[in-house]
Amino acid sequence: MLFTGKNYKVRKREEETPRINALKKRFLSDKFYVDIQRARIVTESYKKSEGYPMVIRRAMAFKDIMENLDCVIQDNELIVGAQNGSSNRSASVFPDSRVDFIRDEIDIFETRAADRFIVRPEVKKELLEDIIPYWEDKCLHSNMLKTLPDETRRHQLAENQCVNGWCAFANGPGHYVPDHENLLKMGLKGKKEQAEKVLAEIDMCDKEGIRKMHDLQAMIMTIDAAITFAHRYAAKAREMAEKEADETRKKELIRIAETCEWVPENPPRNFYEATQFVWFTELITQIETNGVSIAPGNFDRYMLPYYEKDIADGTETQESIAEILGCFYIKLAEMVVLYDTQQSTFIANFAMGEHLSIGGTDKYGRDVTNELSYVCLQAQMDVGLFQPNMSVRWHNKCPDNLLKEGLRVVSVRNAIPQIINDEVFVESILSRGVPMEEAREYACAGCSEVQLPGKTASLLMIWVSDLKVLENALNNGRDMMTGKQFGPKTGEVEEFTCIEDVIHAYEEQLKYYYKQAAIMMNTEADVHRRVQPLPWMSVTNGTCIEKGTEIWRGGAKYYWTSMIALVGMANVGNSIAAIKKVCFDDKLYTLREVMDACKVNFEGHEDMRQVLLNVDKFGNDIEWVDKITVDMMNLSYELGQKYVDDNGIVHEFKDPRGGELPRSMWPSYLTVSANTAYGKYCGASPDGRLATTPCSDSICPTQGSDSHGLTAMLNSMAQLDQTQATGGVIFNVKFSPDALSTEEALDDTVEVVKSYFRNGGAQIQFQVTSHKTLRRAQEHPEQYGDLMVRITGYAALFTEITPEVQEELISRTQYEELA
Amino acid sequence: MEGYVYNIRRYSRHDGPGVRTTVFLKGCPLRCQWCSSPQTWSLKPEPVFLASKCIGCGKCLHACKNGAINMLPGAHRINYSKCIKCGACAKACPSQAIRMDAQKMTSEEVVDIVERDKKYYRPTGGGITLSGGEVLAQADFSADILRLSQEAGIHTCIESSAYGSWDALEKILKHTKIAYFDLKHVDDAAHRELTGVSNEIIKQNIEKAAKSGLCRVVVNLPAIPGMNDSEKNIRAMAFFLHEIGLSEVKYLSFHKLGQHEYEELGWDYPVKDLPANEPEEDDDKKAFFESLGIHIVTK
Repeated sequence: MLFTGKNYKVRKREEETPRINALKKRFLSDKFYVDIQRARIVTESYKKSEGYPMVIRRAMAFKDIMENLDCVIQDNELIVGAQNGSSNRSASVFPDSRVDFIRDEIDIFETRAADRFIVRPEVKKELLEDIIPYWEDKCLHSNMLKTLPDETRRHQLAENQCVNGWCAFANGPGHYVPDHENLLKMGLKGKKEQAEKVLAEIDMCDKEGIRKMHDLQAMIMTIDAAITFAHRYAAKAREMAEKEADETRKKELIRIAETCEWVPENPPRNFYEATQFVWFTELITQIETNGVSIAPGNFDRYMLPYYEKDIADGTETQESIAEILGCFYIKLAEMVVLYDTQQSTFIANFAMGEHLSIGGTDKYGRDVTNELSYVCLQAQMDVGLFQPNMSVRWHNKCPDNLLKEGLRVVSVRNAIPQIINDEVFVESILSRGVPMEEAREYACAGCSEVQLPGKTASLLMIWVSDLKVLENALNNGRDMMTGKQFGPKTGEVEEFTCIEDVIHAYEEQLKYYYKQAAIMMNTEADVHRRVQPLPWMSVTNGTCIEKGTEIWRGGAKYYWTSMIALVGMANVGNSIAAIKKVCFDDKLYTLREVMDACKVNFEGHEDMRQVLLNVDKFGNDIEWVDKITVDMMNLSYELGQKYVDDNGIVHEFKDPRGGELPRSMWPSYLTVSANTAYGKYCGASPDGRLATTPCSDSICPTQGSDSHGLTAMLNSMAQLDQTQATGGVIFNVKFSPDALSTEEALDDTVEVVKSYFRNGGAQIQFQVTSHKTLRRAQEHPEQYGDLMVRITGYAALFTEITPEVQEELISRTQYEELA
Repeated sequence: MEGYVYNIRRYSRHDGPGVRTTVFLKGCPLRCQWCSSPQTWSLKPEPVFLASKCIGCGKCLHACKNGAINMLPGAHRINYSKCIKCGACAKACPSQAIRMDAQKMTSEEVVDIVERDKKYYRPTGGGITLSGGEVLAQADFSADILRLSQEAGIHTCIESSAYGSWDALEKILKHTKIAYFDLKHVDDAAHRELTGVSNEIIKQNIEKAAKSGLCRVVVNLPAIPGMNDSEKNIRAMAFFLHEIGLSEVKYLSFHKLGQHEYEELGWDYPVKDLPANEPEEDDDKKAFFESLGIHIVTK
């Protein structure tokens, strides 16, 4: 029997999925609480474990959490396991990561613009009196600030940042794809046997012997603890089954119990057990670390054997599999992280980035699309929430039907899945020095950041706000908004006699800020290694056990990482173009006049602003301005990979965690919602953008400036060598809802996407909500609880993001059917 | 060859099959009451003004040598009775509140832009659609654009009222794959009333085009509420098509996207109170057309 899914059609069938509807209804009414249990357990555990090696202390704390965290099974659930017991959408506190913002912001958690959480009075009291004081000088973040060199710390703490440690600066590392395939094949029992064998064979006289011993002991402790966690769920399910009056639910609860008794300890015997296993791995990883984007990866390929078996022997049907998947998707959507207020505006609505990849090729380049690929899409059609993030992977041998059915889901549910071009991504991975057979089996985490499941060890990310860097260059290294000197002195604008002088100053500023970014990244690696080793994540990686080495210390096969560079890239390109045209070619205004006007946010200079705004803009297939913008992107990309030391010697930036890849660090092309947040830190810019308004999103044109039609924009985008984008690349296109409303329109869009991809496009995603709907949702949020929108590479619930981000979404150009 | 191009719209998806680039030319002899594109009536580029973009800087006033700028609050900026259409005001305007509504281009320049999206045409069956205004108002220019497009391997469509000389139309059709002709009313008196011109030439040209075998011919029925959408007229159209041996008809929905153009000219929008409509799936009409061997097509 062949499970190709060749003619599979995804369909809307809400009336046929009562369980999913019920779970979704509960999900949308779940309240967000700050849950203290994990914080309490970790604090008690740390107090008891003083003096042990840090990796052992982390394992001990992990064990205490697994043994004591509340087990919650909700009505209708088939897949079980929650982050905590407050509600399925409540955030656990990670005091081991960061506490200062909780102390300072606890009173506004309930009222802040994004990611609002309820803090019960007793929780507040315990946090402020018992937990936070213990961690103030011990947590990751406090270590980070103490470890940073003074100069770099000043940038991190600046009010209008050019460069900012993100993710791993105050959280665990994220953007990671566990080795789900082999975890399923081996079961944790198999992993434990392997670890015990390696432990027994350690050369204790070797200088690494003691460290390896501790690393492995810690990994084994976490394996046992994870099995205990599952067994506690089994016990809970049995207990509930005994009290359950409804016979059907009773049977389900017994099945849940049997499943949790078996997985993740043993290799799963069927699709249902395998799905529960994958969820446990995702959940437990997210309990160990609060880094986001722990991704299920290439789900439709490693789950296929279980699917085929169950369908062949009649255990499951396509419908029942879709239901299991629906339950799993809702679990993924439940995951939340408590961010400080700044971060919560960068990545509105949590952006958990649990990316599930569909299709693609195997290591021999054969298409892997199968029936399960389509059932995964059907489950998204049924559920339609913002996690898992999902991509359909196109390549030269990809069936058109997969693309079409993916777009059909977008046409109804909006935003998910995105479409990714393997031809470009694989080439990109190859350019890092990874062999072809491994490159082809990549998976995405987060938006579209690349990981090799089981082989790579998460991303570290530093923001570099290119528009702010340009502002530095146009103000001799000063922050234009405060007048404070931050960057190097690269000349006052009067000294610039041609556009090349401007670009040169920008280049010098970029070089400086990239060095600051690298210093931040090195600091992050150093602090994590000392303060927050991750024995459980090491278990989920493919090589840490055999190397006897924890993941921060070099246990993974490859390390690569990315500096998020492209905040406001189109603004930079358009600004340089506007300066060139207006100041140097047409000589309408001097650059000093333009900068003086920018400084006062063009007040009294509206005519000048209009002239600047009406210079050609990136994204309209106009060669000269596209070239400038792409040149600026290339410049940023090149400089983000190497630096010149004080002796004039050129070095590659290297991932500080080790590994042997020739190119392990590079900028990435995505902004999440930080383009709105970073816009607030930037004064008015020479492209006519007003102060504090959003910067451009990822590689997209500035909001609303792409007026020459979709194909013109695609041609502009294709000017960029997108094989640069191993760190992720995001390209948002807004469509009016009728653009995908007929079979013919879907077929045409499939062809448009393919043509764009053959032309070098790496990724594309569609938003199909009308402006009218978004406006109505702003007015009546209560009626639009499940309206999903694209932010960058991730989706969010529209009503749960900040008004500023809502406005930014509305301001993007929409490709209307009629116009 | 040079001509006046009103607008070039890329990624058009309603002006023929697939992804298309629609090139709108200036100049039209018809004055349809519901026209959504009055700026295409005149052949030469004219300055037009959009109040919402105006920042009130007065640079147009200084640029105009003919006293054709009216700075009074609430008034349309351009006094067309004095304007010589030199374009100085548009050039001076920093915010493009005043702009010229068309540009002079060579047919090569037009086709250069059309060719930019070639990779999207072939897989979707798309190409260029030449529209207006009225393509017959610049017949030689039209024929040249279509010829060059065909030489570049691009599929060609036209949208036309068929109001012009057959010789001119024939030149165009020689380089056309699909011609969409509007037939706005079958009855001549009604046609004059609605469009300002007789439909005799139009009907003759559609018939000649159908019989010439030069290209596929589709007749557009723009259904304007209360003007030409009566059952009587639609039946008469069906009989006319049947008579001349045509078998394809395309319904056009009535929309009101012309608002902005009227505003730029400082004119009232005559049909602003008419309801917009979408072509309906009307089984009776469809059955009637089918009974005469005529299919309702969308592309």
